[in-house]
Amino acid sequence: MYENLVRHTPKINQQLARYGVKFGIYKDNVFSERLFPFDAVPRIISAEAWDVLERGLIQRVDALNAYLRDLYGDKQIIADGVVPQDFAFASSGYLPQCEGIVPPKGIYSHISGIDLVEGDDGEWYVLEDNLRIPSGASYPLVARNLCRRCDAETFRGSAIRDNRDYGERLRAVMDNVNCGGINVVLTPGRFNAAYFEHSYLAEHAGAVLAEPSELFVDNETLYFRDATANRKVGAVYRRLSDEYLDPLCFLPESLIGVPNIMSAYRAGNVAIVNAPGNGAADDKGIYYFVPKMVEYYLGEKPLLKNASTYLPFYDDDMAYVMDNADTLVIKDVAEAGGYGVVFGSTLAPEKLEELKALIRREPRRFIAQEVIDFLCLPTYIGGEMVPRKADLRAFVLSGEKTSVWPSGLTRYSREEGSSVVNSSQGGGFKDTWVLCR
Amino acid sequence: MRILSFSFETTLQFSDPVSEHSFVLRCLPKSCASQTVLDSQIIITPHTTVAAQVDGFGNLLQVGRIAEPHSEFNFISSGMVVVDTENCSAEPAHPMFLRDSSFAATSGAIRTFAADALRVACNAPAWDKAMKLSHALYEHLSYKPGATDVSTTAAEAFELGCGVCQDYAHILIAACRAEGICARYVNGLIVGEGATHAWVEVHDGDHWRGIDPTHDRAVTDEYIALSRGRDFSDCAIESGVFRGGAQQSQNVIVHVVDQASRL
Amino acid sequence: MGSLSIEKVEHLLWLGRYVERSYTTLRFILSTYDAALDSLEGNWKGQLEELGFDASNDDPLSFFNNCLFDLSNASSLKYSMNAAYDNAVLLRDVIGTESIAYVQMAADAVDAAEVSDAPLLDLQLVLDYIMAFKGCVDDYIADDSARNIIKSGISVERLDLYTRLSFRLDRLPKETHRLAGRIDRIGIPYNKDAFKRVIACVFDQGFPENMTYERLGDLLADIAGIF
Repeated sequence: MYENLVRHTPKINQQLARYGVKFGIYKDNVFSERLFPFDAVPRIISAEAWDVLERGLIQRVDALNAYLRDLYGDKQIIADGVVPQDFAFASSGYLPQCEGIVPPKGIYSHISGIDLVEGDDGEWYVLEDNLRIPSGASYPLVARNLCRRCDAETFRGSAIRDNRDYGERLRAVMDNVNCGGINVVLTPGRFNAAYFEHSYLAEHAGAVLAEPSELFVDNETLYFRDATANRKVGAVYRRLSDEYLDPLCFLPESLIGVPNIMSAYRAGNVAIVNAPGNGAADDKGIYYFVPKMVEYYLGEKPLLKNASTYLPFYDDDMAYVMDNADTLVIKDVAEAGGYGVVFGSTLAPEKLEELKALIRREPRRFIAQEVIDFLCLPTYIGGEMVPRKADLRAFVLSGEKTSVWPSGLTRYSREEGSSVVNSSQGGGFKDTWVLCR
Repeated sequence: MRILSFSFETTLQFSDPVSEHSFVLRCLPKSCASQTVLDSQIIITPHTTVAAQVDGFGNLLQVGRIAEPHSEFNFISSGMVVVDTENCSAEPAHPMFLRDSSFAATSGAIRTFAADALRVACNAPAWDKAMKLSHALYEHLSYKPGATDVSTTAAEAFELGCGVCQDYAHILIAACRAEGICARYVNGLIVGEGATHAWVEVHDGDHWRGIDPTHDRAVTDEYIALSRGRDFSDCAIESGVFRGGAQQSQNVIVHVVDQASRL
Repeated sequence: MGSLSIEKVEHLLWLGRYVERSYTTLRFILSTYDAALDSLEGNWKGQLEELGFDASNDDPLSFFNNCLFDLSNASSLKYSMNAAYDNAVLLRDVIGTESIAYVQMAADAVDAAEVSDAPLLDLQLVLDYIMAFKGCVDDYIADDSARNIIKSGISVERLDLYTRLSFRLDRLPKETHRLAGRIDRIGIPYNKDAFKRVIACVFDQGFPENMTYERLGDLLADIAGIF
């Protein structure tokens, strides 16, 4: 069905280069930009499978938003013992500075990137929720445009849902919470790994791209320094992380923040997309509780599965982890990104015993998960079709209603058998086709 | 119960003019169970619009910005407060006050120190333990201005064996947390003339109660609280960001008077 | 859109200047190279020395190669093209991905020519992409003020380079005319007195024959003072 696309992969990549579809990396302290390799063999999601995914994702993000409202407000879920306080407040993403602040329309996570994999058993599993500044939506947008030009046969009257309205969706999300004023995409600057995306999304959402020095706060109001007159900012889609956002509220040594932006936010004069403090809901320790949040806040059965996870904090789970540590993946809750993740099967017996002793000593610090064998997708590398592991980042947008962008970022690993799909590790991306029938 | 009047003036002097000066001040007391603010005002020079806000820790903020170049920044807060330390209302402690924070993180040395100090008191109530820790700390530490600065952590000051009220407070907080007692940092003023002060509040299971480790005593009605947090970094009295690479010097004048002494 | 910070205004202006600098420098290098083919006697480097290229380099191949690709020389084609790209990439929300693509491709084409065995032939692509970019500026950039700033940048750069190289001085009045029609529509302040002096100079009856070396220097200073 997509033979033409595969045949023309080099041409499509050439055109991606033309548009500067790049991500920045630092190697030996030198900044350089790399092209993000595109594989033309798409991930295809059937209409039936999408229906479940879509409903499950909406449900999950609605519950996560409810949790954040509760956590920074009444803390009912903690009082009710559903999420133990040891986990709720142990998260490094929990920011007491945000206590008591209710963001415009009560929305904390406007743009959520939920990472999923399809298991060998055909089930989808959520691996991670990203409620801070998930990136990656821009790449498939550019690729889709080119693929449609390349292969009329495949796309003509096809059942592939168009995904190129992401910019408008983003704009609607910002407009929904805009407190009066222009929409701004705030980027740390040119040398950020995702700068291409920041500028591309600003262009397509019709927002002004601003660096921190182009914004200032006066009298509880955020302004953009226009060359002719200062313009009030009503919503800011910020792509710099919480700790650097406001040196007068978070890290005082941050040179890239906007001083007192939190005062404009507290006063309800600007929406910050996504809200500061969201890290409290998307870390490894909280992940275990997300299905419980769905039941607690929505009174519904969760439609999406987590990877089976055990908290040594609970006695039963501790016993299971001690017995099965050699087949589990053990994650240190305190560590971010890919750090502090250990596959029990890769450890020598004495190292495994050491780890088990550490878990017994500090049970709250760890979670353990069953290793998921996730599905490989055919990928065209070096002139032949080869299997590569791939994940999917789905983008859930919370505006007037919560909706899922009918596409996503599918990343695949460079090496066979590897489950590392990070672009910085040489992986590439695929288009994600959601079928409408 | 006492009625205290206070005036608190801070002057920042810059070697070269600075501009686009954004600031947050926590220099006005806020009413709570144990202190009632009868009256308070603030004057900031150069003149600018100031917004009053409340931060995530419940502190009263004065937030503003001075765009024009200036070589001096001055604020004077003053007012009258009824302090009634006995009347502390029951409220649960937020669990964050039991966890390490950047300036008040426990170290091996502080943990050992705390365990040694409480060896004969391991079943005592939280408040008694905290007082014991304060006694032990008072013995261990010597008061020495200039040996530490605002960025010194509890572990560093403990290692040095000396410091000022901020360091006493950070170490006591770290020691309390090591012993499972919720503790938080308080900035404020005490009766007399001089500088601002810092002390500690520990949670006794029902209430927050103040201990002043620098003087090794329970907080009395002579203390006016201005701001609270996990440690100093959450609740600085003055913080600012500006354009210009100036040297900064600071002068503080505090004046707190018990109204009864005037009668 | 329609909101430009001072930083963006600067980037627009310099985007115009560097794109034009790349274009004119490249054409100038090509014509000097062509002339040098016939005569390596005398001043075969032509006015290129005025641009700050190494006058002591007597090896023609290496000299021209440096003019084109020496990143450490701020007058080289590669330097200007990279600088154009560095400004363009900060302007995606203002000028659009389609416009940036041509600057990107021109910069990529310079890199490709550098490792080619027929660089001068391949550099034609750079000229093509720059022309396409200029067309894109006219057709695609919706923001009037942004478009006018880029074009003002182009005009100022032309005035500057032509004066610096004493090259096509007879075109200065036309270019000045263009700039005059645009400069009040860009919405940012500029130095009116400097611009008026430029006008007085190039519309003088005796221009360009009356231009001494000194007067050219004054003109150059006034051009530089417009923005």
